[in-house]
Amino acid sequence: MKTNTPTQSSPSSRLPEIAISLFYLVLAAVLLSEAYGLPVRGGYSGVGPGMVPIAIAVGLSLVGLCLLYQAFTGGFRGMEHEGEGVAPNVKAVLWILVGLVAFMLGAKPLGFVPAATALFACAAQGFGSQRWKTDVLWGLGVSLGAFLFFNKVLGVDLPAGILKLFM
Amino acid sequence: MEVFNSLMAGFGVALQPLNLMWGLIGVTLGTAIGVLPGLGPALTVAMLLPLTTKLEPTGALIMFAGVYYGAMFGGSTTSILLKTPGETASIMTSLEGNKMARSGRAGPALATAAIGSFVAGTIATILVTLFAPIVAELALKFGPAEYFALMVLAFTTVAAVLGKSLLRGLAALMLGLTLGLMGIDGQTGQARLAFGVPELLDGLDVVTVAVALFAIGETLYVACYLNNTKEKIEQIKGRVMMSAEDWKRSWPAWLRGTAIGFPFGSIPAGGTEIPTFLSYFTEKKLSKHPEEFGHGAIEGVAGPEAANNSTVTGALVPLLTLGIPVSATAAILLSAFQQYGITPGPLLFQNSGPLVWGLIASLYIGNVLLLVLNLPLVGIWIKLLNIPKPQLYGGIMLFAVLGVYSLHQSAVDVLIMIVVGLMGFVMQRFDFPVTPAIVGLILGPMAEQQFRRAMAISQGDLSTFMTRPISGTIMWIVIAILLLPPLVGWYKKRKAA
Repeated sequence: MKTNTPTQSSPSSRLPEIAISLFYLVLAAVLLSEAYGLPVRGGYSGVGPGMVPIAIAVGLSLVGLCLLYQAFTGGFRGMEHEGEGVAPNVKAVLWILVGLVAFMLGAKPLGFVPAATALFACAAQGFGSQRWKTDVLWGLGVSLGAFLFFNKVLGVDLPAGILKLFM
Repeated sequence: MEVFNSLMAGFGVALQPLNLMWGLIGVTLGTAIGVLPGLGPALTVAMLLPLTTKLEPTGALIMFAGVYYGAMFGGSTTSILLKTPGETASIMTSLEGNKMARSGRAGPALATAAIGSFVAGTIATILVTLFAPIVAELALKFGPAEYFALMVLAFTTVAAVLGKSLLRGLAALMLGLTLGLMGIDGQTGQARLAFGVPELLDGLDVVTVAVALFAIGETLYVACYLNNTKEKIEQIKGRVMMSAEDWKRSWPAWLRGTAIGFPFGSIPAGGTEIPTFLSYFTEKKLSKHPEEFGHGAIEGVAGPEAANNSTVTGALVPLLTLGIPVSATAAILLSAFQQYGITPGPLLFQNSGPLVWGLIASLYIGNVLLLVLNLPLVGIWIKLLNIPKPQLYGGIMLFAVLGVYSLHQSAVDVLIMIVVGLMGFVMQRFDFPVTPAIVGLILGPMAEQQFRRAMAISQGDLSTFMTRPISGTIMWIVIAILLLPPLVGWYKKRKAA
């Protein structure tokens, strides 16, 4: 099942792999600078709040360096990726992100129901739905049901927003 | 005898109408999400966590546990009828199961999966009933050093076992540990990695991270790469029941699968991949019809499916007796306990007897309910597979933000979810396993606490972890897990060269 032969990746896929490795190194640096301001030693244990972050930073940099090595020597090893050979559908990703950001910004001022409906419709668009009007209706129904269940039954106050005008 | 009495008292709790209802809701929901591709049990329990504000702990935990093992039943349906498994645990089932369905034997495949799951689940529950109190008794003797060693073992196995690469497993674990550091240090009150953002002082919520990595990351990945792949749903035609021959070939596989699965669940050695994999190859080796493997051998469904359920049930032993989760779902179950201020561990059996025995008794009941839900009613669940992708993923997104937003009604939480979700997307694309990140996030802060306690007892002497017999043994196992595979690989390469 397992093959240890390095999967030769094309140079175009090498760039993101290098970026991931660098992300780990940057994360390690952030952690170290954070730990710098904290006492490393302290208390009866001799372990201050700074010690574990330093240990994790060391782990992060080791992982980052190993990943970087793999990225430069034929790419990450033994990678399986179901969408091999499929052109990435960037538009779909953007649609979903637009929906999520719309929810983030709209939930408080407009209320949970319209914001969640927008997210539902955007996500459906991302997956290539042809009928946005039906999607809006579906999203409205599901989010209204969830809103009522949470607010009336569970007592969790989701923002009503413009729904107040109708109540 | 004492165990028997406790269990009977547990049945008294679990059979109360209200708890029975929560159990039924849990297993029904679990089956549904197990059937649906893209929704996992970890995500579902995470989204249900807000319910903890309203429900009393026993009912809520019975329901969550129902979702947890119900999803395993439902997942087998999807992997048999559709080639894409709903969760990783069903990969082996789909190998033979889908072939059986294509040759018109979907009925017996579903039956052997459901009955096998029932047999394995019930036997494993009996083993949990017998072993959990013993392990709890033993765990009372553990000090912080032993707990720290066990957690390091859990980290290592989760990182090493899941996925195809030890390095990427460790990378995911490190990411989880880093995220777990965020917030105020419990022992000194120092803020770490909060960057002056007040919302980060409480640390990252497990729900937010789990929803982000599973729901958002997974959805983005499917949308980006897999939306155009057409999946063929096999129809159930021909006889649904198993023939005498099917029974004869299935039951030894069920028992072997159960025996293989349970130990893997009950030691903190995470993941259902290895036991299902082992079970599959054991069956292939022992079968009188090895030529059928790859073309729809019933043992290849019966064994892994039993192993899968047995592992999942066995994983309750470390969760309940040690407070150590070995899968993403168990990690979220742990945080459900924490929401109620209940700490799973050796004292759980003493302090919360009715709750924990009620939970164990509900497993017996739940397995029966699941057998009924999955065999005669399988036709209903198949209809779920017909939900078109746009609406399915629209709904998943909606429930994802519902779970995160209902925590504190905070836009910052949603932003964190989006950012971590993008990380999850990258992880999926480059084949980083997600579970080590979740386990690292939850167990990381606990491990740090135990580490400091152990160091306080030893007065700052690090060697305490190696010199105490139990923790020393565990540490050597950890070292072996980490060093052996690369060393063996290096040696083989040298020999070949």
